[in-house]
Order: sequence, then C-alpha cells, then structure tokens
Amino acid sequence: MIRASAPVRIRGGDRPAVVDADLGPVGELSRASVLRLSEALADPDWLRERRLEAWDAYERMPVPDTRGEAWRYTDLTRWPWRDARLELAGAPTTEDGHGSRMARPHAASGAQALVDGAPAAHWLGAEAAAQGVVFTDLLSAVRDHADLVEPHLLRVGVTPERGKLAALHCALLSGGTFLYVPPGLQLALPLQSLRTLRRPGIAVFPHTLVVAGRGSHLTYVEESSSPTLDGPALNCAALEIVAGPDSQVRVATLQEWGRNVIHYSLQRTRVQKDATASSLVATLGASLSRVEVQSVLEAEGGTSEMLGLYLGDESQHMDHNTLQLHTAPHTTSDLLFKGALRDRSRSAFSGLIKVFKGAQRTDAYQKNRNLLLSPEARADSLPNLEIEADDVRCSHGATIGQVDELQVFYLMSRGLSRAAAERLLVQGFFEEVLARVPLPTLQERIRAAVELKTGARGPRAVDEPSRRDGRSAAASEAAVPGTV
Amino acid sequence: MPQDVLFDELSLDDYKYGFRDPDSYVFKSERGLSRRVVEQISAMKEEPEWMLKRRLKALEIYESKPVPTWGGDLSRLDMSRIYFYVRPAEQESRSWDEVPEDIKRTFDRLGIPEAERRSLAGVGAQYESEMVYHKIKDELAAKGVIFDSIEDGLRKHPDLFKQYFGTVIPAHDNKYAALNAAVWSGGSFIYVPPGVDVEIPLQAYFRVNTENLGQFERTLIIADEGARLHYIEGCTAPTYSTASFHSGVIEIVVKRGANVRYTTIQNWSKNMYNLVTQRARVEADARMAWTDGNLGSCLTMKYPSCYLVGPGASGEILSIAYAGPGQHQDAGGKVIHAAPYTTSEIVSKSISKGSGRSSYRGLLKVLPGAVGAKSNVQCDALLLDEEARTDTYPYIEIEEQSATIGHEATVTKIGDEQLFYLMSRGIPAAEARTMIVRGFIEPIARELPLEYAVELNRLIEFEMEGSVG
Amino acid sequence: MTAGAGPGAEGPPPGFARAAALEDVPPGALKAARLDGLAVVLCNVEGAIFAVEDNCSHQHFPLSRGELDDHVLTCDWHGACFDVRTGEALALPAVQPVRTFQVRVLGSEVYVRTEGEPPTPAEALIQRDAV
Repeated sequence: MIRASAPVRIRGGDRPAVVDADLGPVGELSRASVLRLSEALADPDWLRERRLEAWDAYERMPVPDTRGEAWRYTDLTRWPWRDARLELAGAPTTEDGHGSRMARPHAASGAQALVDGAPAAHWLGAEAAAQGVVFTDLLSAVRDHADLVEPHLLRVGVTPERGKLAALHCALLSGGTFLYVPPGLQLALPLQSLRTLRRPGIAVFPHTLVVAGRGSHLTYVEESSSPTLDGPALNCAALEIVAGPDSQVRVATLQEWGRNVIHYSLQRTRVQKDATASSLVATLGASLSRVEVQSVLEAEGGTSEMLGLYLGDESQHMDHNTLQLHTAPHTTSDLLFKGALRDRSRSAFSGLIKVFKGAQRTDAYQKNRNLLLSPEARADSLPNLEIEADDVRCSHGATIGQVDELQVFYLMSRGLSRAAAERLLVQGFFEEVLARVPLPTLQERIRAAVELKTGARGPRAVDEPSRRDGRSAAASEAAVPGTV
Repeated sequence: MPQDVLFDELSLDDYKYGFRDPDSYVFKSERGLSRRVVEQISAMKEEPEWMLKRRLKALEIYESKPVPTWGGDLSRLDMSRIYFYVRPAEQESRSWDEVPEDIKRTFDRLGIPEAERRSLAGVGAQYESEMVYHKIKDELAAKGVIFDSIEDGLRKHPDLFKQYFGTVIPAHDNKYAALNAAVWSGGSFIYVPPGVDVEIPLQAYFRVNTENLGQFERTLIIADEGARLHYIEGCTAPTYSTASFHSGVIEIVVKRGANVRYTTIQNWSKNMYNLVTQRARVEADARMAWTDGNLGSCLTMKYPSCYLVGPGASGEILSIAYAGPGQHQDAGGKVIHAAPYTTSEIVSKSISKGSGRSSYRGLLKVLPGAVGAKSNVQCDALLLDEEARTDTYPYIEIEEQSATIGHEATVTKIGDEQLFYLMSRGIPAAEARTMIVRGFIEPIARELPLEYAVELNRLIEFEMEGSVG
Repeated sequence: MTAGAGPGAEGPPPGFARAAALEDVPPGALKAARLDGLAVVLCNVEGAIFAVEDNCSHQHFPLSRGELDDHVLTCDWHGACFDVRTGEALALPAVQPVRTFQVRVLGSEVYVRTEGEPPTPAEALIQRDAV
C-alpha cells in the first residue's frame, strides 16, 4: 500500500508465467480460439456459453471509430490492440492453486499478485479467512465457489453490449480476482491485487468480481504497473462490484502501466438498498487508456461516490467515460474527475448522469476539471445529463484552463523555480480528490505516484530518461511493494 | 366557404396561428423527392446550369448520408409524403397591394403589415416555397443595402452569391443541409456594405399552409467590414393531422469589425419537423449573436453556430426552448474558437412540461493557437412536472493551453420554498408558478424585440394554466 | 512519362520515398498511400501530382474518400474543402490547413518527401527533376 521499503519477492513471479499455448494475435482469433481457451481453463458450461455469446456479439460489432458517440475522442482503429497476442499461462505452480505463497503485506487483510494475467502469489489473513472471506483468483473461484460466482459473473453489467472491447473481454476473460465478504463482516484493512506485465506484446483479460454481503464493509485496491514494454500489449480488464444492502464498499484502481500498454477497463457497480459505494480511478500509465466507470443506483438510499484523477505526459491518451445511472428514488451520486496534461498528452472525459422516470429525490453531481500544462496538450470534456424525473437536484460543471499564473508568481517569489511551482500546484490540484479518500496509506501511495511522475520531468529527465520506467521495473520485480 | 375557420383552436390548444387557408398555388410538385423534382425546381427558377449541377450533387450526398440517430426521433417523418416544392404565386411583390388576396389575408392575421408600419427597416414574407414579398426602406437601399429573395440574389448579384453560397455550410455538412442544398427555395439574400449601420431590424416571416409541405428556405447574409445588422425571423403554420417539414440553411459571413444579430422565434405548429442549420463565419473583431427561441414544432434540431476565425472575434448564443406535451426541442449552439483572443458565451434556458423533452446540445471547441480564448456556457433546465424530461450534452474540446473555459448546468423544478414564499405574500399558486417561470427566462426574454417578448410571456402564461400540481 | 530506364534508374532524391505508380493516379483522381506510418493522399490536378496528409483537419476523416474537383479536395464527411496545392482550408467546417508534402515524379513512379518543411507553392509545382 505504501512505497516499498522492504519489498516482498514473489518466488513464482520472477519470470513470466509458463506459456501453455499461444492462441495468436487478438486480431486473428476465432470462435474456435474461444472454445480452445474455454477448454484449457476447464470452464463450466455456463461460462463457456457466456463466452461464446460474447464472442458472437464481438464479431458483429465494428471497431469503434470517432464517428460513433461512445468513442468520439478515441479512434480505436488507429491503435494496434489487435496485434497483442493471447497466450495462455500455465497452471499456478503450487498445490493450493494460488501460485507462490507471499509474505504478509503491511496493513492489508489479504493480497494477491498477477503476472501476465496469471495468478503468481497470494495471501489471505487467517482471521479474515476464518470469518468466511473468500479472496482468490477468479478461475479458482469459478471452480470452488460457483454458487457465489455464477449469479454475478458477467451479470452485474459487464456485458457484450457495452461495446467491442467489453465483448472481447467477456469472451476471453481469464485470471483476475474474486472477493467475497460475508454479511455483517466489517473489514478494516484493505485487500489488494497487484498486477504486472512482463511479456511484450501480450494480451491479458483479467476480471475482478467483488461481492459485498449485507451490512459488510470492505476496501479493495488494485494496482497495475509494468516497465515500458518492447511491443504493444493489451490489458483488457473489467471489474464487477455488488454492493449489497447496507454495505460500504470502496474500490480503488491505480494504473501505472509502462508505455506501449493499451489499457481498457470497464467497471460497473450495483449499489443496493442503503449501500454506499466509493470508487477511485487513478490513471498515470499506459500509452492509451480507456476507462469506463459505471454506478447503478438501483434501490432507495443508495449512494455512490466516484472519484478520478489522471496525469498525462508525452503522447499519452487518456479517455474516461462515466455513468451515474439512477433507476430508483432517493439515491445520491457525486462524481469528481480531475486531470492534468503535460507535453502532447490528451484526455477525454465523457460522463452521463441518467435519472429514470420515477427516480424522484435524486441528487446527482458531476464535476470534471482539467489543467493544460503545455501548449500541445489537449483536453475534451463532455458532461451529459438525461433527466426524466422532476424532483431532483442535478448539476454538472466542467472547466479547462491552465495553472493560475498568480499562484505560480507567488510561489516563485518564495524562491521556487517555475517547474517546482507548477509541480506543487498540480499536486495541490489533485488534493481535492485525494482528500476524499479516507485511507491514509492509499492517499500516500497515489500522492507518491503523482509526485514521481511530476518530479521525474524537468531538465534531469534528459539524463535519466528511464527513471520512471526504472522505478516501475523495480516495482514489478518486487510485484508486491507492501510492508512497512 | 369561410376559410378562416379556427377549428384547430377548439380541438388542440391555444395555438393562435393554427388557422388554414385554402390550397391555392400555381405549381405543386408531386409527393416525395426525386431527381425530377429537383430539376423542376431549378427549371422553374430558370437557374444557371451550375446551380442545377450543385443541386443534383447535393441530392446524391443527401441520399448517401444516414438519418441521424443521436438527436430526436425522425423515424416517423415520412419523406415520401412531403411536397418538396409549392409555388404560391407567379412572382414576388414589392408592394403589399400586389400580394395575392388570400395570402395577404394570412399575413394580415399574422400582423405583418402592422409590423412594417412600425417602421422596420425591411420586411420579407415567405409563403410555402417562395418569398411573396420583399421590401426595404428606400434610404437603406440608397446606401447599398441589398435585401432580396435568395433567388433574386442569385439573379441580380451572381458574383457575390457565388463567392459565398455554400462556403459556410457545405452540402456535405449534414443530411439536412444536403437536402436543403438540393431543393432550397425562398429565403433572403442580404448584403450590408462596409460601415453601414442598419439601425432597426430587418424582419422575415415564414408561413407554411399546405399540409405535408416541406419548406427549405436558404438565407445568405454578408455583413461587410464594420457593418451592423439585426435580422429577425418568425415562423408559423396551421395544425394538420400529418407532419410538415421545415429545413432551412442560414449562412452568415460577418466581416472584420461587423456586428450581426440573428433572432429566430419559431412557433411552428406541433406537427412540424424543424431541422435547421445556421452558421456564421466571424472574422477579426467582428461579433455574431444568435437569439434562438424554440417554442413550436414536434421536433426541432437546431444548433446555431459561430466560427470565430479572426482575432478578437466574439460570439453569443442565447437559446430558449419550451417543450410541451409531445414536443422535443433539441437545441443549443456551437462555437469554434479558431483565432487568438476570441470570446464566446452560450446561455441556454429550457422548460419541459408533460411528456415534453428539451435537450441542450452544444459544442465548444478551442483550436490550437487560439491563444487567450475565453468561453462560458450556462445551461439551466426547468422541469414543470414528473413526466417531463431534460438532457444536457455539452461537448467541450480544448486544444489550447491558454484558453479559459467554463461550463455549468443545473436542473431544477419550481422550488417549494420559492412557491411558499410567494404564496405567503398572498399570490395565488398558479400566478406564483408563472412568475417563477418568467423569472427563469427573463435573461433571454429581455434580449427579444418587444412584440416577441410579449408573445413569449403570453405563451408561458397559457402553458402554465392547469399546471398547478 | 516514357522514361524507361532513364532518370528513374538513378533513384529518387534523398528524403523521397515511393508512394505510388503514376498510372494509378490519373488526372482528377485521388490515391491513398502510406509512407513511414503517415497516411498521404495523392491528387492529380491536370497532370500535376500534389500530396496532402490523408486526414481532414476538421474531424480526422480520410480525405482520400472525398472528391477532387480541379485543385479543390472536398472531404466526404462534412464537406470541408482544401486547396491541395497549399493545404489551405477553403470552406467551413474546416478552419485549419492540412499538411502538404513535396512530390517528385520519376519515370512512372510518384515519390513523396514526408520529412522536413512543407513545400512552398513554387516547390509544389516542381514535380520532375530536370534531366
């Protein structure tokens, strides 16, 4: 959770997982490949059927280009995601099916590591396990906890009709994380999933399913990082979260992939009666990043907080697409996404608040703020409202501007260089988001990642072009930057 | 038979322009759109060959573009039933006395001669597919101001016409701009010479009488350097059981330092599809202001736009929409900042009632190099009951670091506290609600010419009747 | 045109890469070509070949799917018009120019230089090296 001072090594994770089969580039897969994958993973019938249904939908859909509304700001036809190869990782290396055991991470209820999409190491506190928490890789859960998984997997809202890449994910999902917290159990410490990519040109499809029982409390943190890879890799991920009645669920994802990774993630949360769901998306890495975050407020008393921050540099492209779907009365959602763009980086935010007929007494807010830090940077913002109930309080706002020259001037008058002043202002800009994350360790972790990214720039970066990557490499070697 | 029967007022609502006149025309095309119809229109207008070619090319473009699916529901607009061209009279008149009697009676009822007497700078009137009347004050004509029908513009000022026609809105721009480029008929051609200030507004009235008519007026306005112009258009039609269709294209060139305001009060009957493209090219230090009132029609899709192409250019869009039961107002505006120190402001106010739906759809774009561009967008929606719907789709695309951009939107209903306050002062509930609605639209209503502001208020009052929950 | 093994045999000048065969770009025609990852469209205006970036400056649509009328290239999506000799935007909705590239015709082949400065109008007209 915090920066590694004594990294835990994952024995099984030092090298890329053993490859059993290379199914070829994504662009050349067929229905037969899906069947082959399903067979290799020993899927139950229901999962194989869901895969095939998704594959058929995938094949029917054209690759989205900017003429469609959903991908207006990201031309998927121009990115080499179809070149990434689907390689089937070998079976986990230990008897319990979770790969190597890992040392106990600091301040966590449980932790897990995925390398190239395959489970590499795993740890769950004995106390949590005894209380009925299930925290394991997804494929093991499909096998061992079918009763908990089957009703939700690809049923929470990660479905083929969400789009081309969502359909691809549904057809090819493999590996990932399953977390179940039984009713009434309130976990104080987070569970974490740490992911890395080692193999250039690989395509992975991790799926996260979180089921929070009635009245339970949980925090789940997903961190992804890798070095810059030699060939374009694809991380096509999804998260499905069920926030049961009265539950409190926090999910944070921190994305620090190296360049050359194409990152797609669809996150959908069902917020049930009187539940509170909070999500945080921090996007720092990858060449192309497209993240879709959706909350469905489906019963009275549901509350959803959706936070996001993004910081782009060089030619990074970051596209965030959000949905606050109010289908029931007396529900609340509050969204704040803030982004800063350096160099030639580009961001797009498109968000929709949709209030169904009859969803009276809805409060829904949406804010997107952007800082342009260089003349070549670009930000697009599209905050949408569709309101079909009248007794609502809905508002949205979007701003795009540069750092306040007066503040820069003030800081410079205190002896800071211009670069340092700007850096400080950018960090301050993100504080509004971080202040709303009540987990100090997570706050610190993200603050450090932002500092690293802003600090690695400037004149020294010329001499140390790999500083950021070097750190990522170190992190992925450790894979679990846990402990004190 | 008495032709001014106001029977629609009994069965529908208080749409006071709902009266019909008998069909009387000198030419009516067959239903539906075809190459033949386009050739007929061009032939009847005795156009040069190049214009016919452009029309036919536009027809191809129209046919190649899909019906848009992002805005309102167009699935029930049956193009094969539409009459694309109806010529009401042999020729356009320069004196009100020459206008054919029945058409004159229509415009009398709409108050046009009255408006002209109120000393407007000029008046134009379009009935069905053609302008039947155009008149400009002699002193303005003497200063070189041209205010003609678009057809006369092509005939009498071919060079000016050809230089600008289709350069602001090419036929390819969208499906309905292509349709207009194929079958356009009527509309105004306006030229204001450098430095000339047309102090009082020019006004045009558009009237559709025939059921299933398609009206495709085309207006081209050129305000030369330092010129000033205010143009107002008003639109009405009778209420029929099947739909009519209006698809205009308005191109405006605002040269350096010029100032143009274009005001539309659209009160089409509630079975009119109203799909209009309006765009201005705004040069250095020039200013373009659109005031757009959408009150009628069953579906309007209309986004007046300003392309700010010269340094210091500015654009303003004031949009007001009222969507009553069965109506969808998909309106808004677009501003493209393509030059340094350009500024813009968009203010949108919408009111939805019953099954009415009002959508704000806007684009704010700042291109690289538009240093110091500033823009602010404010969208407010008022929902009058639980059936009503509102949407906001503001596209914001910024490629210039030094731009300062803000967008805010709110959705509200009439607040209980506000209502309670007014009622505690002895104001009846119905009146209190009307007052609140009036206050809501006031920032835009005050920009309207008086008679339209009065009309807007009257309409709001009427629509508010019986809306006390 | 009937150069045979003439100037073509000496190869293109430095910085130029082959884009298409001349016969594939007859007068009035457009031809899309990919050069070092860059999409270019070749335009034949009465025998002179011009090359502009195959990407409309308005909404990034391939211009090679549009139409060429004399020196005016019209984008098929929204009707933006460009002068292929200079890249200048001639009609809304485009307000920004498109990139232009220097062209050489050697024998029966068309070569394009994608690096460096765009050609001046005069350079754009020099299509064939003196032989």
